[in-house]
Amino acid sequence: MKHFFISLGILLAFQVQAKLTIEITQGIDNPTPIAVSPFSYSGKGTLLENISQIITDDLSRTGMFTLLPTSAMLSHPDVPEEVYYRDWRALKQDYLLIGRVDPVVGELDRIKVNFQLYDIHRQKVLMSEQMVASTRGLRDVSHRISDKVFEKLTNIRGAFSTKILYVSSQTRYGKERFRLWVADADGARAKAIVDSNEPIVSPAWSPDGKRIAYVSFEDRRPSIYIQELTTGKRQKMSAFKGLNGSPSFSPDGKKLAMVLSKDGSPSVYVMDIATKQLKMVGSHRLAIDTEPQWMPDGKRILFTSNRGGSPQLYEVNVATNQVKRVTFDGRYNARGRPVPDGSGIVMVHLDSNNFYIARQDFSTGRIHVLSDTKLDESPSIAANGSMVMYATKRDNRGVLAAVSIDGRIRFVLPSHGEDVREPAWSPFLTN
Amino acid sequence: MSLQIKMKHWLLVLFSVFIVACSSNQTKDSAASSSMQESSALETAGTDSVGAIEESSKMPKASFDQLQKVVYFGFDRSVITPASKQALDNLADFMKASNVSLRLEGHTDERGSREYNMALGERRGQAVKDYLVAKGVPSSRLEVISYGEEKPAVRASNESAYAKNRRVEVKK
Repeated sequence: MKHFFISLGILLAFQVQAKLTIEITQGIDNPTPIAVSPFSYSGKGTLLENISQIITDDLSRTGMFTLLPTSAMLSHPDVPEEVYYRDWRALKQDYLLIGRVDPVVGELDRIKVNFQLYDIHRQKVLMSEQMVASTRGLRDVSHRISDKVFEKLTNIRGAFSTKILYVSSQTRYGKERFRLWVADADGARAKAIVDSNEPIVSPAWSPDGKRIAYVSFEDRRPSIYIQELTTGKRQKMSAFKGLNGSPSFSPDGKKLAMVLSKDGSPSVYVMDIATKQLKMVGSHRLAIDTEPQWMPDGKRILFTSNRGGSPQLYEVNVATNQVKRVTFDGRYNARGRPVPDGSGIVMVHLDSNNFYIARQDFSTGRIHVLSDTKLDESPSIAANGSMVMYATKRDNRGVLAAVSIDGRIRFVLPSHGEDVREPAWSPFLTN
Repeated sequence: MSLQIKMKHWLLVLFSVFIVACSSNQTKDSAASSSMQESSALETAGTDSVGAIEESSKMPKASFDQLQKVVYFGFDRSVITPASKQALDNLADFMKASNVSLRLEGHTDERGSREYNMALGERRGQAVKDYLVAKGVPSSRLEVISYGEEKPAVRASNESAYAKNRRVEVKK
């Protein structure tokens, strides 16, 4: 028996290594060359995280930049006095980011980061700032610097400081284990927040990023829960007979759209979170209605229905109960997610027997296929609308992938050993 | 140390043998004991079902373990196929002769959207329930639970796996 426990311990040790890493499969034609000089550290020992590496990874993952390798640099400046524009021009760089980390005097475990962003051609400082943080918050600081640099250079708000939820499953000794994870948007710092022998599905964020909703089968029946991320405290919101699925928070965080089949066929309901009062919306007596998702205006809900014979997307006005069909091309369009700027939707689209992630623009009504694998599902859009994360299969295993909203940049987040799926990208978490 | 390692290997081998024995029926029972019980009677695929139907129809007082307890469906379909009707008739007879309550667990293949599949799995469970109720089983003794594509019987991405995953499993 003692030996059995030793084996278990080894398996657990392997488990800890299971995290996501990034590889880029495709980029854009003319990425902007930028150099991130290694950030120096004047304190004792070494820092727990490599700030300039994290920033380099963040920027390269967008596909919009080419990062100069550290080894190709002529110098590693960490203060403005050491920046020679001529050197960086010779290396054909458009921009340069430098920085240094110093301990905060008299405060243990706190550091300050000074960084500067340069325009090499115009020989100009674009940004010069200082951030103070705990030594354990270095990844947060790094992503915040990435956000600032990205916004300065593209005029698009950065989403590097956001998080993702996803579900993993694995089978050991014939027993399945399902876990719900929260991780940084780059896959780092993954932490399991729900662990069960029964399926966990449909994770969703509240608009302030403090609560999540999901469906758990832990009672051998589906129930919808809302859980606070920091405390782990949770509340069972629904456990009706039949389906309890697809929770989606309203933009004001006060209501939860969901799918219930307690009154017959699966229908969309809106629950007031405080009172748990329910209202059925857009129902069709005979059809499957599912996958409700609030539109950014908080007045309409996008959902999937097979009322027309095959799954298509519809929207319902919650106040008037008026239903409008949204997709018309193809015989299977499901799981719609609105693009944050209101210009269109992203969805699962069946094309020549394969399921892809596709975008439909409201202005033209046209469908653009974004992904290129075959069993793509569960699209989730970044808060800044720039990327779509989704689930797909690689080597017969579930992996997460991302594609830019224009379909030009793709990368895969390979997992080590576990099937992962159902990514849910958080809203902006910082101001 | 090396003795410990050897012991671990042996334990792993023993455990694997145990697992193979338990999981040969390809069902996803969480309790190892109940899956051992059912392994002799359960079908591994829809196409082998004829033998089991004949066998059980010769024994009107079949026990639950002897019944065929998996029903298969076409892609994006929730219609009971003629091939499943005999097995469901036997199940209805069994239920009417006892007062057992059963779970009808609906499943789909992995294609398409997960949440849509959750609804499709329920449709399949509901179709089996409707059939049994039409044969005189009280609906209060049947509960439909859909797992969508979350619990495949066969973990592979090909047509033959999909056919085995589009199913309703009858459980106690």
